[in-house]
Amino acid sequence: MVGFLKLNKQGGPEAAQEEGQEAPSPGVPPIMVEDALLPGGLPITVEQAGVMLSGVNLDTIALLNRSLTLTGWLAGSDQIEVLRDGERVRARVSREPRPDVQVAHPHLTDENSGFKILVQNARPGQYHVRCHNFGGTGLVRDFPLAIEFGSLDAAPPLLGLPSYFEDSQSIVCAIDKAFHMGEGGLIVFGWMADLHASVQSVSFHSERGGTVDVTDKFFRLARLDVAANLKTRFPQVTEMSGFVLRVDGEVNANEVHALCFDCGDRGKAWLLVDVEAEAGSPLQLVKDVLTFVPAPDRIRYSLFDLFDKVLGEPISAISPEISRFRPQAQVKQFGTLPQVADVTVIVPLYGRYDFLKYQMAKFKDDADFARTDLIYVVDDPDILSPTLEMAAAQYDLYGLPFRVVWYNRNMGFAGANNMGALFAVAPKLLLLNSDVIPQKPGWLTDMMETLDEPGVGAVGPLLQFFDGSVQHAGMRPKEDPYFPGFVLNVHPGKGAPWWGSDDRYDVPLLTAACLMLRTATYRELGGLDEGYIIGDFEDSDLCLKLRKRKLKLVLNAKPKLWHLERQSQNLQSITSYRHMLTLYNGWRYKKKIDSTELADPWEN
Amino acid sequence: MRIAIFSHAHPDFSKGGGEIAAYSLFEGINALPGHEAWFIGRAEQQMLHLGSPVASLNAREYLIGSNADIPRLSATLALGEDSDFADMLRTIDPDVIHFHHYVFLGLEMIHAAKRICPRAKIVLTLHEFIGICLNSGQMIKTDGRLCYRSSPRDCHGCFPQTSMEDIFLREVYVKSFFDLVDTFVSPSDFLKDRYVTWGLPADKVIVIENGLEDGHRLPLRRLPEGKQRGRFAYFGQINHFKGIDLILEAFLGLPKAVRKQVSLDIYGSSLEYQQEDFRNKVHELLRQADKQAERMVRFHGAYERQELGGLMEGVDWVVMGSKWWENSPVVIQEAFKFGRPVICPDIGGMAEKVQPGRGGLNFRARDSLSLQNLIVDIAEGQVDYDALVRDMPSFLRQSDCAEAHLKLYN
Repeated sequence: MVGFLKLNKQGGPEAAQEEGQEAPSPGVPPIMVEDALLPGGLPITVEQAGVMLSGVNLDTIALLNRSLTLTGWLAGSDQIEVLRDGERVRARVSREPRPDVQVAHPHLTDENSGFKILVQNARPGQYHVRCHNFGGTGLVRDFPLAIEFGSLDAAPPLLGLPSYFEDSQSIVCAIDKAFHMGEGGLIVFGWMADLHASVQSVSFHSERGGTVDVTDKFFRLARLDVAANLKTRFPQVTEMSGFVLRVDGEVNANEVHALCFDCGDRGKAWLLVDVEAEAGSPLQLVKDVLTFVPAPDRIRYSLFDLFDKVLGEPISAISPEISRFRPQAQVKQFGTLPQVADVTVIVPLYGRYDFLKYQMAKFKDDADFARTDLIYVVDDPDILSPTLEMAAAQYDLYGLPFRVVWYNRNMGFAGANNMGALFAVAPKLLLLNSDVIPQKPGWLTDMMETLDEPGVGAVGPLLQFFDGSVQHAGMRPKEDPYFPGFVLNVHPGKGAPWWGSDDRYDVPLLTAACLMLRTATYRELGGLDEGYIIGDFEDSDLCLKLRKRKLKLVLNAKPKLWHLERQSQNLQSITSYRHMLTLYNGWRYKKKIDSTELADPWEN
Repeated sequence: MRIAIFSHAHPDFSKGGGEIAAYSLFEGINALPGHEAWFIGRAEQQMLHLGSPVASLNAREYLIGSNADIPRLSATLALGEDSDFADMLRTIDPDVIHFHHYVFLGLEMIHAAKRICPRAKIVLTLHEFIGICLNSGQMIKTDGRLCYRSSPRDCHGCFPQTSMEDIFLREVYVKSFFDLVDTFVSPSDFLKDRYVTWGLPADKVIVIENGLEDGHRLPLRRLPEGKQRGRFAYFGQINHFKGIDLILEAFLGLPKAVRKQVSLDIYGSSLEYQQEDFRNKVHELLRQADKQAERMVRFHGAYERQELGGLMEGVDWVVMGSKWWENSPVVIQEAFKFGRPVICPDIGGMAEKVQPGRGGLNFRARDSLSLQNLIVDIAEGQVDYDALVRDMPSFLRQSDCAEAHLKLYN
């Protein structure tokens, strides 16, 4: 990024344009030169008998990072300086060889005829380059330079822009990473300390002309590292010096892109945005984006806005990609399907395949399983082989028929259940987590009876922790003051002894850890919404869809199962991308409620 | 009645109390007219044939290959309807399937037995607390303290690498097979109580003491004039649960005058298989004892069961030092059979079988000073030895034990 001062051509345009651009030298901040400006366009020389005695030429003028850089050559003059509004300004002059000049004028004795002049912190004004003792004549010649500060008629050439810029008179900033989100546009992470509160707008530029104002898609993030680093020099820098912004619409990864901070009178800062097409899976991309959010705990109060303003839509745009290509499912049937199945039980397996064995040890003694279509869905290619091995051993041991469905992907909770539901043959469907273990036989019958009651859309049982305390007795929505904007699900009475009886209770929401509904209804509703990535809120989403149809959600507390929930997260500290993913899902849930696609969770 | 007795080992190849009790029951039932028993002992893979987990030693005795470890307790052989295991059971066609222990055999064997022989009664004799306690079923905390109750939280304290949920799952899993058992047998009330507290229905657990081969009380050792009954002996395995180190420490701390009046004979096996620290400790204690008073402590090594009567004849007391609860130690029953009072810690199955004045004397568990005081009392003639012998409980004969089991099978 560059503090950009625009140079206006004063004359001799053709001569200048040839030289108009110069790659930055190492060690010198990169320079943006729009134009070199030459008085008269040609070298000014003093000749004698066709031989040049002295001469001067200005090849390039560049303004970068508020630094004015002039290059050219000078022969036969012993001093060169820069003036602004008639006052001499501090300039660093270095001389260097100019073999081309040497060739053209072989009689010149000065080998270092080239020069480079650097004026730092150049401020607006009328600039001159002044040469003294010009041509050994004692003359002083001024070359006026017309420089217009602060305007932007056209973007500078973008290639060669830096990804870091520092200018004590305006801003310090850098781009860390740009994520190419396909149709979801671009998400750009970086940091920017607005040292003089001068930034007026932020714009995104593409080489082939496109310019987008992204000021209202710019979101501040906490960067403790940046603050710690800059504070010694710029005490006004706060930890909220990070940023993320989004550019809507697909961005061409083959073009050069830049970000421009307009600091008004203090110039413009340009930074190169390195855009690469993402090579990994869409899920990996989402993970990378969320992992990139620095110190989310420090912006807890504004996380909803982070998703609403910047991250939510690009992630939503690519999330269908995660599940777009339905993998080919394979099925292994152990034993014969029951002649008549009352219920299809779908259990997704991820990681811990051995839960199958613990569930089977309880299913084996339950007569209901003679009329149950049991399906394990392997949602984790890494465990396929041991799962099938264990499944074979379980079938050999118990002779209890069941099926194993698998595919070569991890589709997440919603996707796994939806895949399993494709194979369901029974009129009722039970979604069951693998770490839910029934306490006594007969629980399926109890749940089915409740589902058969008029007006009931879904039934859940009482779920208990290993010590008997409540894990789930229905859920309710909650607007959490610590997470403003989100609608979270809370489990009333979690961890407490069960306060109720073996009765049935209408509840606002039910968990999908153990949820029974009609298979037809499930299919009509499109199953669980796979737009919730990996999985959170898809159960309350499904519940609110049922409620939108005026169907009741019932907790039947007679059947009791253990739920050995361990993976479930609390949001007390947002330490991982998984937490961020939950919040993304939460944002998405809230948007669906707001759009009335889902029932209002508070409405009776 | 046809009874298949499964044991976690065969006593031909392993000398633990559990397999000996199981085998004794097998012999006892076969000795009764009208009843037949089969003995199926679990064996290491290398003792079996290639391609089958079943090997018959004779028409009534089998070996079976499984390796259910303590954490999982899961059988490692095929148990389906067409398995070699199933064929074996169908051949035996038992009315009763009696499991002596479940470790190494595997819990799933209980289900398979029930599935293959649906009419057979399932009986399970409990030994240690392996289904309850991950620490080798000893109910001792991993830091050495005695454990009074199990729970996922408590056990997670001992095994922090294992989550509470996984500890709970193990319990649920074990119980899902115990649910298939018709009757449990426990050799002690203490063991029964622990399993009942853990969740077994009390009315399903019957207490039957281990049966012993017939035998009779030995005459008291002839005591020279003016001498006390100061000859003590230790019988059994030597490992860090058994407290031989504690017994040695008690002897080493005796006053000099007492040392001359007492002796300790150690008939113990397996020291060579113990961990080096423990081995070194025992060797060092033996060395010190030897230095202190020659021939006060004599280490004899292993013994055969058949020798036991002869060995007990020359001693006055059988001493135990166990640091864990014990269940129903066979050595106590053997001592009763041969008429030798037992000195043992005051906890668990030992305190149940031996109470002060009834079968012997107790000392405070894990406290060598308490044992030392007891030895001093004995050396000073403060204990009525004759009364102890007179009031000693009887032991359960193998045939009576078999009868008790048959009653239960019916």
